[in-house]
Amino acid sequence: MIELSEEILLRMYYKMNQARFFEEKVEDLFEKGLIYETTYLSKGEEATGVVSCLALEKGDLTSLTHRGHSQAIGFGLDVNMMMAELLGKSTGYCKGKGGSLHIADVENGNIGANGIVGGGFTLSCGAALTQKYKKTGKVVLCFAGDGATNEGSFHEALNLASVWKLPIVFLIENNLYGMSMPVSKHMNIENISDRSASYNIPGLTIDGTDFLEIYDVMTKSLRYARAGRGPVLVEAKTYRYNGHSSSDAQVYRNKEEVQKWQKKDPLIRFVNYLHENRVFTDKQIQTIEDEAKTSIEHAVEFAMESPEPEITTVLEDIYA
Amino acid sequence: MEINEMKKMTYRDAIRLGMTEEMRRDDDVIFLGEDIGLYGGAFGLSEGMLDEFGEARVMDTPITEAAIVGTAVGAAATGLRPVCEMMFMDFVTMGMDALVNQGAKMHYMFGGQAAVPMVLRLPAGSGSGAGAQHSQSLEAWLCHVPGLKVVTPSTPAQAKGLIKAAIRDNNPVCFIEHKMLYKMEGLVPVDDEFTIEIGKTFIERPGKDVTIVTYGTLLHKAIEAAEFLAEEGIEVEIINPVTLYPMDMKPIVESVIKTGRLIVAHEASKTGGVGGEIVARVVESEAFDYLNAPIIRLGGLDVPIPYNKELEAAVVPQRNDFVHGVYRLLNRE
Amino acid sequence: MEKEVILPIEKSSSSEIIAEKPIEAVAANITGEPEAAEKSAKELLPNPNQAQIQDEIELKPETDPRLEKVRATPAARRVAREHHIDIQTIPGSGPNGRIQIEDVKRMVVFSPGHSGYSSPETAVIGTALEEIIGNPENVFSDPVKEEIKEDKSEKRETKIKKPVAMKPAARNNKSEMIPNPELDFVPFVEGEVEPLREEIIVKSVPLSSLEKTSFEKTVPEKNEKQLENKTILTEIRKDIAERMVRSNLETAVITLTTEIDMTEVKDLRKKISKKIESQAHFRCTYTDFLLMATARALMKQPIINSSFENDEIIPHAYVNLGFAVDTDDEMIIPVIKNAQDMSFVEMVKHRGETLKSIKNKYYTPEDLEGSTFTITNLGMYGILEFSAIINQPNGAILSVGEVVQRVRVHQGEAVIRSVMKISLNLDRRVADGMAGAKFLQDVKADMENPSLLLF
Repeated sequence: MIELSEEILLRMYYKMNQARFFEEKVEDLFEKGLIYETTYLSKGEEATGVVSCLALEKGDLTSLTHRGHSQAIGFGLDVNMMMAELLGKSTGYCKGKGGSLHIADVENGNIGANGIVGGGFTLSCGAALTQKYKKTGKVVLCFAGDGATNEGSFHEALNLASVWKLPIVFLIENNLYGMSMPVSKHMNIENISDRSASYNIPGLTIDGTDFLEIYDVMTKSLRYARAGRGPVLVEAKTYRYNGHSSSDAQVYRNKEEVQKWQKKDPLIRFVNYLHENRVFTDKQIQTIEDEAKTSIEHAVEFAMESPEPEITTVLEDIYA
Repeated sequence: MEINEMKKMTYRDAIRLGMTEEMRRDDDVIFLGEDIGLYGGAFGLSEGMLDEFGEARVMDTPITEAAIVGTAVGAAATGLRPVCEMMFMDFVTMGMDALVNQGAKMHYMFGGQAAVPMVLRLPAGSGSGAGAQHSQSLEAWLCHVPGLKVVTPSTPAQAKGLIKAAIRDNNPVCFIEHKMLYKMEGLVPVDDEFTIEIGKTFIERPGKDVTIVTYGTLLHKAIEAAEFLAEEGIEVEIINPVTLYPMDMKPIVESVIKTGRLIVAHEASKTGGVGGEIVARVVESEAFDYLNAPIIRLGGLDVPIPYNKELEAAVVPQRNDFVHGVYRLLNRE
Repeated sequence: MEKEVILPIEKSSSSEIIAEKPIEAVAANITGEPEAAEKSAKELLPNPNQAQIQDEIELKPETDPRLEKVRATPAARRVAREHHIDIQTIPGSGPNGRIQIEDVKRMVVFSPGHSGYSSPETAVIGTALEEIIGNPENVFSDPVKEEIKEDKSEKRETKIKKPVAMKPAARNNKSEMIPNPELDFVPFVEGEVEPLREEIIVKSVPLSSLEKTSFEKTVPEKNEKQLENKTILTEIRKDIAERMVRSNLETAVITLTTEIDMTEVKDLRKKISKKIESQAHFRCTYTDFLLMATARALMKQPIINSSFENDEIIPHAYVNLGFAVDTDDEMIIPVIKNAQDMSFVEMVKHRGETLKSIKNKYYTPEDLEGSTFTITNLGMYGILEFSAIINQPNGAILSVGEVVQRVRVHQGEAVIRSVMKISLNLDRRVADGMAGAKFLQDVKADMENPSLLLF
């Protein structure tokens, strides 16, 4: 088992809390009608999004999913600019043109969240090809959901990454439903990681609510990919507490199931670990949570005060 | 200025020369596609490129169009300048998501972040008996997607200048090459800085009576028709848009104002074709008030391309269609 | 709706409302259904392809939308507007009486007393417009082209003239350059070493403790880091030295040497080189033959392929071949795993890829672990034969000398042959000289009959 410094634990806990508060705030703003588009919330999936990103090295790249707020926060995106983008403001990451589905920070290695399920796989291959060609030693972390692994692009990308030995780690956040379709109905295998066998690459299934396991496996997988040995497929079993989108009545699952998973909440497990190992005092834990909450409140303020984009910008940036 | 040195070569060799020059010039340019390496490309276009640039830059891929286009988009967004080849333009359908939903929109939807400097080479067109799934001209689909640039060269010189400009362009450029032009010979400037501006329409032949707008193989049929008509004293102006999207309409509008009569022609199916768009823009423009006859569209019949040689030729407009079209506009028939 | 139906009349200059020449169908008959009329009207749009349909349509005059309309081109209407001429007074000379611009111009010319001459057209009629010539700057339609066959259905006599070449003065090829300062003037330099051209560089140094440095290497950071690397290196050197001493102290080593006739390998390699390269994408070398022969010999003499750890001899059922590689700043022993199952092409491929990854510093500690036997080569430095230190916990090491031309008796004649010496250093506690000798014999036999290695 790997060793974790207090610093990394602090960063993990802070960012996971940020992610949780961010989603709660987004839900709130949407209900108030301040957020225009429908939102895909990642509440319950904070551990996979945040912890896996913290296993990255500086300069590594990532491709996010439509349910990408936790991933973006984990990767180090600015919550002010994220919130501004969700509110469609000119100070957002995409100057109000992208919205939640297209948050990107290309300069710093986030090649974008993707509104197309399965759209990020092949893009990640390209980003990884650049790293391999330029010998940068950097790795691409490609997020995707369980539903995306039924797309053809998943299989094409894994095959290409395997034969070209591209430095990618594919992290599948298996939240047990592709929108309303349970995994058991949309694929005939127990673990998505089994699909790695076809491409002769390592495939691992981990508990997506256990930050220790995520960090351990991701660190090793990234090391493997970084060494030029090819891609790794990691499946993290997790759960989203909200519906697929804000219009989801959730008729496909019952309350008991949601409650069962909420008992395994990644944040609760994290706090328990901190208590058991006496890493931080209760007061310190409280401070981290408060700081995280404040940062999100600031983000909302920042976003609300930011100006709307000029109408004339609608014709800008069509071509580079 | 000195007259530039020219060399006679085929359209295919001109494309290869353009790519080769750009790869020598810029290490970030890579080339990927199916069977482009050792095999030399399905049409022999990339023969010898593997030897010069090695496997790291001339990359044979599995048969995986979705991944080829997606990989090119991802690589372009992160610092390379990939050129990728679909063996036939028809196969671009397999890579449409990466092209349409990702590459074309990335720059805009990310608010100006990330350029996608890639080139998608698409061998199109009928005339080789390759049948319905290997003969299409699907340029109109691509012209419907803001963010893409769509270009098509009709001569060897255009082929070289345009592929170089496409590689240097910072946007996804769909480079449509006509399979039946591969063997066509012509003079090509040897200057390795020779490029053709994307987004500029060219007048191939000046005239005053009727305007013909066309590209690809039909351009050559139109020129033949114009030569025939010239003997009867009819002066046809032939315009080649070269860049199909975003199209430079000014020379076309000006020409129609001059002639008052317009024929647009392409090999692609007439319905929903690029020609319809040209006509619509002419009619929307100042040129409307100068139209002195109904506009004629010559296009492929709305059928899949058949295999039989005679049937295949019947789908596509021929030289005489241009001649009769001009007669009709001039009330001579 | 107008009730009065104006029948076709000759074009006149009267100010009455004049219907254009109606088609036969209109005058011919009338039916009661308004929908039918509407439908018909639609179909009557001037679509030349559907001309025949017109004949079959019957229309009611009251509902015919064309009856009170003038058929005129947009250009004709514009000129008429500009000259305040009632378009309905102009006789049309076009198809179905369509009024064209020429018809209007004729009216303008014939009634010069007309007031309000504000149109720019007056100045243009018959003069400037016709003289405007096309934009001469385009030169790219080079008229040299393929021959296009004559259309068989062609009724008209057509002559295809040879295209006339453009005047050279019109060419302006440089003008279309797109400036891109970032990309300009980047000279193309041949890559350092193309993967296909790589030759094996093997050097003897027994060490396998590079784990901690290999990773830092994959992320090269310049300047300051280089200094750091040096200090790491000295540590490695110390480590190597310690191991060497230990190796010498702990083991009782015997050395066996034999000479291999490499002429056959040389010839064979020449023959198959191209073919192998096309399959493996790496060029095959003598080393590949030696690796193959060694792997096979080790399977026959598993005792040579064993580890000696904690006073235990562990023979292996698999062959993980370590081969010493000299890089710029250190010596590394990457391992080709499961060499016993490999075909020759696979071996070439694996060796090539391993070497490439070492060269690109793109490897993991795992790539350096688990060797069961090691090969080291100083041949390229002109060393004929030498004795190497065992790479513990291996039980033996094979050292390879230079391939040289020597006079040898071959099939009863003194001829020049290519020969090479190999030496086996064997831990006496693991195996005795007999086993070592058998191993060398097997290697020699395979190397001197190398075509068997391809199967």
